[in-house]
Amino acid sequence: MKGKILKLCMLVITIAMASACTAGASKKATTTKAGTHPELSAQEKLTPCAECHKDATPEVYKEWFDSVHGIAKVKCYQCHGTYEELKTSPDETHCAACHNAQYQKRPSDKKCWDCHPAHRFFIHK
Amino acid sequence: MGLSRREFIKRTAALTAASYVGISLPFSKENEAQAADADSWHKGTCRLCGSGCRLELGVKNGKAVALRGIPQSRTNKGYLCMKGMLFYKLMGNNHPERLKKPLYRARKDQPFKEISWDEALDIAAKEFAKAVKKYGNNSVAYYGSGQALTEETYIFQKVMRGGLRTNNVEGNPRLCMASAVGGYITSFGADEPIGSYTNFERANCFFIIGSNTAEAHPVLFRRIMRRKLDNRDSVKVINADPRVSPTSRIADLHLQFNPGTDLALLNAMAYVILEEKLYDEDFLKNYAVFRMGKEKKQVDFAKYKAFVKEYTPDKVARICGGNITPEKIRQAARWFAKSEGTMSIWTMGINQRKRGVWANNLIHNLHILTGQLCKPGADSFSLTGQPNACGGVREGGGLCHILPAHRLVKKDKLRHEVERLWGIPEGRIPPKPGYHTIAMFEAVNQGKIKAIWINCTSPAQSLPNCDKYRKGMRREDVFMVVTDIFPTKTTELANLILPTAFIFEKTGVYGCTERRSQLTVKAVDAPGEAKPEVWIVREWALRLAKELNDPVIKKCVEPFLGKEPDYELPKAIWDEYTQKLTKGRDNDLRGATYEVLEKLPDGVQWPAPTKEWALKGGTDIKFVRGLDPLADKHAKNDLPYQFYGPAHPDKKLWIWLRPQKGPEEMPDSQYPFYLSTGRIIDHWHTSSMTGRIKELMRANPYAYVEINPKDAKKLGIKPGDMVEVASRRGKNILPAKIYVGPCEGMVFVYWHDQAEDRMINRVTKDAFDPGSKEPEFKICACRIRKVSGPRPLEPFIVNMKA
Amino acid sequence: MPVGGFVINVDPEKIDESIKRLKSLSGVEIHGLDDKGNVVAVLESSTSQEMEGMVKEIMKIETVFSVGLTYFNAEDEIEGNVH
Ligand code: SF4
Repeated sequence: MKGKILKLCMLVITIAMASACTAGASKKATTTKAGTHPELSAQEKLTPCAECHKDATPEVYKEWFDSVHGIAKVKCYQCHGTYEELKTSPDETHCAACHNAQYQKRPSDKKCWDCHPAHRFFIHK
Repeated sequence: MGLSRREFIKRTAALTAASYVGISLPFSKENEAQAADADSWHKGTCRLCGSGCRLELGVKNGKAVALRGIPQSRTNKGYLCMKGMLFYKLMGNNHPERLKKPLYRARKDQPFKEISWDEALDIAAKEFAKAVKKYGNNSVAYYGSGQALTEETYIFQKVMRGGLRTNNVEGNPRLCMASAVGGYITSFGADEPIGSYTNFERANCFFIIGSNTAEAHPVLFRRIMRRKLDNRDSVKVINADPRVSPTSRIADLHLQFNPGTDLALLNAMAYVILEEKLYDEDFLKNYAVFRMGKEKKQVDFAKYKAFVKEYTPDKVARICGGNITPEKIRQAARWFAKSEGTMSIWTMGINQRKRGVWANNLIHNLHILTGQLCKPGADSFSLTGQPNACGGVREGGGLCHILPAHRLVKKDKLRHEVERLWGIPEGRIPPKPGYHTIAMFEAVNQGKIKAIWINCTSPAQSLPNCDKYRKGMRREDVFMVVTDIFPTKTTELANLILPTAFIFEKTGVYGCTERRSQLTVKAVDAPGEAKPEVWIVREWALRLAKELNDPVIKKCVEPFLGKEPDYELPKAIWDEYTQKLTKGRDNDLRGATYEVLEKLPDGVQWPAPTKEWALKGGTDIKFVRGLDPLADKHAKNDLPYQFYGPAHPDKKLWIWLRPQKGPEEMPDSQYPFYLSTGRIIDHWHTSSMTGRIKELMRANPYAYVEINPKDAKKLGIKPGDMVEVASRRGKNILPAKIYVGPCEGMVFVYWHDQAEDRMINRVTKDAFDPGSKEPEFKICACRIRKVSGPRPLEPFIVNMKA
Repeated sequence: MPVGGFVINVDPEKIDESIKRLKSLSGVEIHGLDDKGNVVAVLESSTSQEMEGMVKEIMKIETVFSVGLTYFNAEDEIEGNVH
């Protein structure tokens, strides 16, 4: 039974690679559930987000790099998840893993980044 | 939120499929967060570095579902790094690769087969007993870990020493902080830092040498960064390292010296302090003496001055190379000496050196000279890599030469004291220390050790020059038991693999860098038949007593018989250790009972002789009257500081005359590069845990070799090219990262990767510090060459061969 | 009870017909499709072996070009094997 599961898992990986290639060929900017992210090959998925985003979204990269998160090495995936679970707007429970006290106290009609601008994270806007 | 778990999985399945082809589905995304809703939250400590971050585990229907920081905790103030946020994925049945049944094979070339715990414990007892009977007590050994709980290390060493009558008790902290222990004892007379993390918010100058804090201790680094960013002009950060690392980003001054010239640099800073009269005369007069040589001969200040005279900034700048100029050395020394509170921080860059103890001494020298100790923000602070190297191994008696609570094996009085406290006959513990780590695995190579128990660590990957020692571990006449939660490079060489409970699946204490003991109580069940180590040792000892017909072995575990293993048993062990063994010692933990520890969001810093003191959190700064109860108790005069450490009979701080000493192996024409190794934020140690968390693995799927752009250009190496890194011992083939990290003439490799081709300890050197016996992982000579252009690579983690 | 997320490629000319055929199989849920013939489906079975059988069944439909697994969850099955 275990062997079967393994086989299926392997299948997931190969299909993921294959479909990434075909999809990429037939359709340029395909979307993930998070919005628009180009399909990635298996190898590309093993690259840190920032590596591409340095060039793809240089302003965002720079804002992050110079922010307290950039200096303290809180990397992209800590808030946005990795490719499969990518979220353009992070789940606020992710913020709460570190900033739980602030999260509990926040005004309920606001998102964290309404006051602490995304990627720059000043103390207050 | 009325979504069942099954529905949730189905939606995830649909969403994932949709994401491949860019179809949007109508479900609202809110529901995805539901997996993080927990029924209950349980306090505990992070497992994945020495910072000691406190966190809460979310449990839903008996399953671990999330982790979050505890804002009231004095270690991390609620912050966690990605490792700390994700390791719930390894708990209980969350991870399919967990070891769940005892596995056995008589010969190492056979496949493993599942056996029962009864059979497994019988085999372990029989093999150890056989070795003892045939080859003597020193033919058996225990090799433990700074990741084991204190209760585990304590009971293991008790059974080995009191039961099996051998001091062959070692552990991976030998590879990690033995030099720091040596430094603290020889300079201050007592192990472990004087101050605490609280100094991060009080220091005005940070001297960070040989530590990439930003990646190795990210949450502590956050505190340092905050301090610097909130006081950009007044707080100075000096980073001294042959490699520019993410830590350097907050530095005002980066001292990039050639590997192995650190002792000269530190002496040159002392030179400037003396020449410019930046030392604290009163402090020296009241608290310090000068010493040199093996005999610890006391010398006068004049002699020390004459010694330091050799290390002029001009001369040392030439020795150090890199970007070092005489002016930079002077600047560093001035900031260090003059600031209101200077805090030095270091880890493996200083400790893993042929002269690691000396390097530690030279940092302490600077603090003693300038009186940068005991005051707010002033501290000579070694960071520890593992969550319980301090608490479990340094304090719990987990090395071959020490007994619990900072007692030396070779001191008759202290040894007999332990025998008395354990209620075993005097003379039961041998007076001679056992094998230190490298000697232990050398003895395995030579077949002198016939049975070895490796607990919670993977020496097959983490020892320097590991191929040499893997040969010994492969010997058919060496019986190897390995206790762990996952298959590793070491389980591959075992005869018997025993599955253990992970943190939060058992109860026990971790003691982090700042003398702080913190309790984690069981919150979820271990998978399959995995068991807590304390139960394993107790049951094994009972069988050993029968096999060897020796009631004293049983006596060692007698106080723990009949206790339920998830809470009562570790509690009984902790009580014996703290109430009996630490009583009256410098790490007095009598106040830190489970009851007290459970009340606090974090834990207790020793000395904590009473419950009242422990409930306040214990001792923030040692040796200061009014702040440290033992300083008051041991006070010999009216001075505000009392250095009562057990190792210095004169109750003084010792400034050492320690000359520059290079590494064991210098680059030469054949092997022209320095090789150094280190960590990255996403992985920890041998990546047996972090490599199994998808997010972390993907963030750093394989090790790189970092090459300075100038060297890369000379050798025609481009980013991603496959590069062979070879030494006299072995070689790796890794992708290249061209990066102004390492200085020219030096390459740097991450050491976590388990793939044979990228396992850098096959290349590193096993030379060790003659004082601390800690190996010089950080420097050896190598050569590099391009073998091909970029190649697609796969992440790799050892798996169980069926 | 394993759950799988699949992308099934069907003949874009015969989407309706394909969907009807797919819906007739038990354990198959259709969650979305586009005009290029990509169909998002979730399969549910009692064992992973059975799921492989279902995939084979789907492949037998003439208008189906390929069946690609993108997500697979068999945690209960893995857990079930533990004890
Ligand atoms: S810094 Fe260390 S202790 Fe803290 S969360 Fe990260 S790995 Fe855990």
